[in-house]
Amino acid sequence: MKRWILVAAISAAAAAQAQNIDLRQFDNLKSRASDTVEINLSEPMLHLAAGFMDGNDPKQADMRKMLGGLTGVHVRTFKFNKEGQYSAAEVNALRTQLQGAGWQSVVDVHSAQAGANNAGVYARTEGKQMTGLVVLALEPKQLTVVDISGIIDMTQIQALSGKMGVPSFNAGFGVKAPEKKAKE
Amino acid sequence: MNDVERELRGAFQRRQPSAGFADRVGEAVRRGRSRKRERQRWMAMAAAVVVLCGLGGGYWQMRREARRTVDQLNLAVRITGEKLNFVREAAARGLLEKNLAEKGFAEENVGENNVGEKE
Repeated sequence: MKRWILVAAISAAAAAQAQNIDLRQFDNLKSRASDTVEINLSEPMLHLAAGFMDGNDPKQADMRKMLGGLTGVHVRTFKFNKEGQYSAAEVNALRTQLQGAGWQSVVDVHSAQAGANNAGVYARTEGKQMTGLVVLALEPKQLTVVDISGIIDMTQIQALSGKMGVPSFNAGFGVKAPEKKAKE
Repeated sequence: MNDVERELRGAFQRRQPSAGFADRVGEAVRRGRSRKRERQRWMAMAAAVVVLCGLGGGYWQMRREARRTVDQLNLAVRITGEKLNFVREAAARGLLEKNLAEKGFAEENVGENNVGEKE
């Protein structure tokens, strides 16, 4: 019996660790948003997806490589019809979580001006390994939070740029985009 | 001896079975066993079909789940990419506005912008 309790406790701890931050605080925004995107991908789902990817297909191989170390991907995007539908307090609760142990702010764009865009990138590191990444984008009519946990290699995320329907992007922050081969 | 006794005696009288009776009995037993074996074979085949259908259905379900996950993952990566671009642009704009403000330009557009980028 004690063993089962221990196993349950370890599983619960692992599940809690799989998600970097608690995004439930944004649940009440759903009712105010005109459009909501909610993505919750746990470690078993990511591994399942990786298992069905073709390692010989270069496009899928990149995605598969990226999935190898991930333990969770959680996204919340709320689009609003008008400005001022979410409060600073709701966002600050998230920022407070991101001031916890292990987290550091990589980029912080903050403007007190009304209607200005605010943004932030936060990373959690263990040794030299990045184990958590949160991207926060606050626009007047849109709020987006991306929470990726696990062993994160930004070069692998960058490698997906422009592939599999993903538009070109620059992960930046010290990550170089893969060089494009010159057309002969 | 009355009629009833006579009838009973007649009924219980030992008679020799007709010729080939033992063969017929043996054949019937064999046929019964063979039918049972055949029924078992059909049952096993039916069970195998059910198991195979179950496995196939499970695999199909897993594949569908995996596809859905890949679609969601693509969307997540797309949103992440878009938002990383957004953060870069916001940071660049903030730095530009900060520089302009420091040089005394466009102060009305600068406001209280506060940008920090850490390497």
